[in-house]
Amino acid sequence: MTDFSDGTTSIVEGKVFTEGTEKLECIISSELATYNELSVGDEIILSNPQNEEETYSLSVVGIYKKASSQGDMSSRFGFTMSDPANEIYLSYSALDSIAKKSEEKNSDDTSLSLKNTLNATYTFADVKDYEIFEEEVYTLGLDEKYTVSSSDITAFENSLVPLETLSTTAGYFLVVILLIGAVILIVLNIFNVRERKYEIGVLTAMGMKKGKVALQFIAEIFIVTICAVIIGVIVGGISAVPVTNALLENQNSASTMQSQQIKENFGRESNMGGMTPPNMGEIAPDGMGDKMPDSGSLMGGFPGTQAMRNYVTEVNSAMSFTVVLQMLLIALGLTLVSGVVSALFVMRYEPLKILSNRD
Amino acid sequence: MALLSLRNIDFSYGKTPVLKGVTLDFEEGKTYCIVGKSGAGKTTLLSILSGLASPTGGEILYNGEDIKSINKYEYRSKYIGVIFQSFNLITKFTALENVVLSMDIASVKGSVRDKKNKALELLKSVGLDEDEANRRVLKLSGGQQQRVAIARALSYDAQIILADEPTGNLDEETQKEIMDIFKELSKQGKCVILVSHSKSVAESCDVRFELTRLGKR
Ligand SMILES: Nc1ncnc2c1ncn2[C@@H]1O[C@H](COP(=O)(O)OP(=O)(O)OP(=O)(O)O)[C@@H](O)[C@H]1O
Ligand SMILES: [Mg+2]
Repeated sequence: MTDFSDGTTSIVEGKVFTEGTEKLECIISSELATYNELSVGDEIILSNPQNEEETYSLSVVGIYKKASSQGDMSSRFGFTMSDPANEIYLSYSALDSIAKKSEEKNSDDTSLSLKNTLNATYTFADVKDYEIFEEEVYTLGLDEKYTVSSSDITAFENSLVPLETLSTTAGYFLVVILLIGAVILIVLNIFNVRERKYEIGVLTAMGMKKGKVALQFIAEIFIVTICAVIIGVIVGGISAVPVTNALLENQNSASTMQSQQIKENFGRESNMGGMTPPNMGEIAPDGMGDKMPDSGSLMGGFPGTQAMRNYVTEVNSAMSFTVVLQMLLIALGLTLVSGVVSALFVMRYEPLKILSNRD
Repeated sequence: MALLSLRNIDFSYGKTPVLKGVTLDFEEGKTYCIVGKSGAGKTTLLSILSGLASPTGGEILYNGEDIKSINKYEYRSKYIGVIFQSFNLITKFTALENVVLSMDIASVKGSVRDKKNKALELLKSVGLDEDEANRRVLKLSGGQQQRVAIARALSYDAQIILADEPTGNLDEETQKEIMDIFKELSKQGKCVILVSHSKSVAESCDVRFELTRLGKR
């Protein structure tokens, strides 16, 4: 149904059934209409795959068309029910009434009831809604034996794996660089102070307070730090996005390789996605019988096939104010440490000793 | 009362005694010359007078007050002007910058421009033109560097001038000019304490002290 709201799918003939109607009205895809020579106003008969004698007549009130056909993949594998062209939309109430009727008709053998083959898929605006739903569904009486799961969230979390791997690697890298950098910085500063020992001797002999000399050194280091941070932020800001994307591409192709292996090993894709809004039931159109372009194959239901999505294939910005602030804090911290070390050296020097021990 | 006095000063570098029981008085408006053989401890004595070295015994009085009880930074930066035997200029700075820097350390009042002008004037008075004043100290001759050191010591109007061989690298004529400056300063009420091997310098001073090397008496 998201396809309708984002415009990839639209009604080309007729109209959508009234929301919440119990009338057995449906909309079908243009492909389904063409192959079965259906048009608006026609009736289609759906049968319960468990009980072929049990049929329901639906009237076609509209025909929709997908802007881009996503069906190739699954039809190649011959999954009728997962061919998006076979998707029939009807209102939840209508479906509910079918389910109830089916229950009545199969009261002697409830296992044949349509209810058992129904898959309900819910679409949420965001994860929070999903989490609320997850709780509510149990308080409203769903047996604890059932689990509520979202393949989209799992997919999303899976797609975050490369990013997380990248992030951890980068994190370790950063720590190592920072440690090495800190050591180098301190050593360089000690060298700097020793190099300028004579200058320090002159200044203190002239009556400049040691604290002031030390402060001078710290100030110099800070100026260098500020320049470095500015350059770092600019260079980082420019290169972070392309570099991260390049790294991410590596990571993603690695995980795509994995899923390709799964495909080769199991002969099919791991199916994800396929969502309908809460007020819309979705019947897997297994029961279309010989009217279907790709009939047969009553395999278990994977609603709507979509190739595994890499939700995060690109980052748009790697720099944020927080990151810059963190960089600044780390830089200032390092500067402070090396500054204090320099200052300690300055404070230790006695002008007379420096000036009388000139090399 | 003397402006600066040494009372029974002892000094030794580790176990090597250099000065023993030195008592001297320095007054305003006079020039002093400390003479003695090389290694007699003249430079050491000036270090003690400038507060850079602490005597192992005895006391130094500035205006009757023990130097230990006054702020040594203020003493060094404002009350005394030191011309070191080895100049101790900041070689990567220009002559002018060296002079202005010492004025800054002494917190001389005035704008940067004023200080620069005063520094240029001083450098000119010791015989350095504007081009030399704006040259890095490293690119000045020994005698020129010495004169920068002199200009620096005079730049903040210190009451006491301590000069270690201030004319050691200068020709007779320049030496005389410098001595004239020192004499002029003492006339203005300053206390000028020199160390010199030069007989003529020693003779032109008001008071002479001779140091003898310990153990070689
Ligand atoms: N830092 C030092 N450590 C140990 N001994 C020192 C030190 N500085 C000077 N001396 C010794 O102290 C003695 C006095 O040295 P000082 O520099 O005061 O002599 P001076 O009278 O200034 O000689 P000159 O006329 O050659 O400049 C010398 O024997 C010298 O070797
Ligand atoms: Mg000497």
